[in-house]
Amino acid sequence: MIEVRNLWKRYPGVTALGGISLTVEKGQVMGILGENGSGKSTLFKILAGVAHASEGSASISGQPVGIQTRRITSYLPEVSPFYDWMLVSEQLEFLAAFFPGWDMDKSHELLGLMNVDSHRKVGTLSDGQRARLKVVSAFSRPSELVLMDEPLGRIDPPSRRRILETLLSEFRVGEQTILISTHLVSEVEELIEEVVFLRHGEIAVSGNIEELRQNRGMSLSDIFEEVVS
Amino acid sequence: MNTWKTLYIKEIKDNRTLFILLPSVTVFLELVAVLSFEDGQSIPSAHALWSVVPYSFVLVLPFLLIHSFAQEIKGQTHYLLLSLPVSRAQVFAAKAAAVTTLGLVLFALSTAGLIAVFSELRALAPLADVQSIPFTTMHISVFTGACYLSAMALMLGMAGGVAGLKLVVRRFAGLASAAFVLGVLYCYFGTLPEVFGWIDLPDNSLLWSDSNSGVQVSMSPEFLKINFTFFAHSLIVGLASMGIGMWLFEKRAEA
Repeated sequence: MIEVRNLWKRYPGVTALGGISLTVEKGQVMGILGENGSGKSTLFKILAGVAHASEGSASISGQPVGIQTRRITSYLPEVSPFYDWMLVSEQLEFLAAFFPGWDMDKSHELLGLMNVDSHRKVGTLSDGQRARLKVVSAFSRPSELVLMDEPLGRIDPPSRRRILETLLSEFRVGEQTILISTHLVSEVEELIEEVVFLRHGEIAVSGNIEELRQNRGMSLSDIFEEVVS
Repeated sequence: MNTWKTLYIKEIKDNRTLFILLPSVTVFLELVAVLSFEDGQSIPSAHALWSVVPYSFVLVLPFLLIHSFAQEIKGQTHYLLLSLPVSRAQVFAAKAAAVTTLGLVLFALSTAGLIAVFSELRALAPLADVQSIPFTTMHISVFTGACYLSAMALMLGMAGGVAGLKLVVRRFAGLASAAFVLGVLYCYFGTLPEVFGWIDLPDNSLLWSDSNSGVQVSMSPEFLKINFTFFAHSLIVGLASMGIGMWLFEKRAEA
């Protein structure tokens, strides 16, 4: 599904990604974990096609990242990317024009689940509601890949886990591949199958969660602590 | 709805305040100018001069285009735009097309007002014992059109180039933008004499024998003379500059 080969991203004075290689199988739910500045968001931006790699390659479903892959990818950036002046319903209709197969009924069902009023202007929503709107926009269409960059950060802690569980169990379409980046390890630990720990733009540890736990004899949170330190 | 139309309408709505304000001010100024004529007067009111002011609104257009790109980055909505399954050139073109639309609406309203004022002036001519005015509404439209569209093409082209350049040059972006504008203007004025040698387009004096309003032309209205080579040159330089901006946006725009 995803093939990343020797991917580098350099900004003036900073190397955000230092030649990482990665393979993600179709249908996997993978966690990309790491502290702030480890390169998680940069990796997601390149896979989503909103940033260019300095070197190396990334492909999704056999195609290099570009217009075709953007069509089959749902990207939830860390920031709120919506237009403040649009109504929530207008924002979703705007997006629906670009993605064939957008399910507006599902959008409204998700809005209800997320407790977001479709008649409100995006600019009047709280940070948490904007984060929920991102989730709605990502799961309202049958994309093959969902990139969730810190999706839970601005949602209130009691709701985080419940929302993610509901999304993955009830609203995931077919064999959607899902990449979740976060530093809140405990909240995704039970949801992900594979994990990649990034440190300073390089892969520090990766593998199947169960195997990692057994081999190292510690929880995912402890492995995270070890990687970070 | 196709993606191009969706992006274009989004841009119009995004700038709806200016899209309402500038045409409204234009209409207001033109009304002031037209209504300043009083029955029986032989000298037009000074208020008639307001009819030419809306043409200066063309100066707002390049700032509006640059502002439109800057707003996307400031509001972080460029994450959304760049993740859409369309070419970046299409995103860029939708923004340029929306601003061009505003420019054309302002031109149409301004010229309609100017023609209304001109009609009033022509009606006053006999009262002031002046010979028939030697140009028609078509002369006015062609002259203002060539001037306005030349200015709009050149300025929007430079603005498009600057918008693209700002994505590449992160430090000293203002300085680089100023250098780009000066470079385009240098090329524009530097190549103008050569272009006049290469391309021999007629000027609008060809239209002077055509009088669509029935007024006999007894003299050449020299002050309304404009060579179409000038117009073509402005259009080419503007499009080339815009092309540079679009290319940079396509290749370098990223979140």
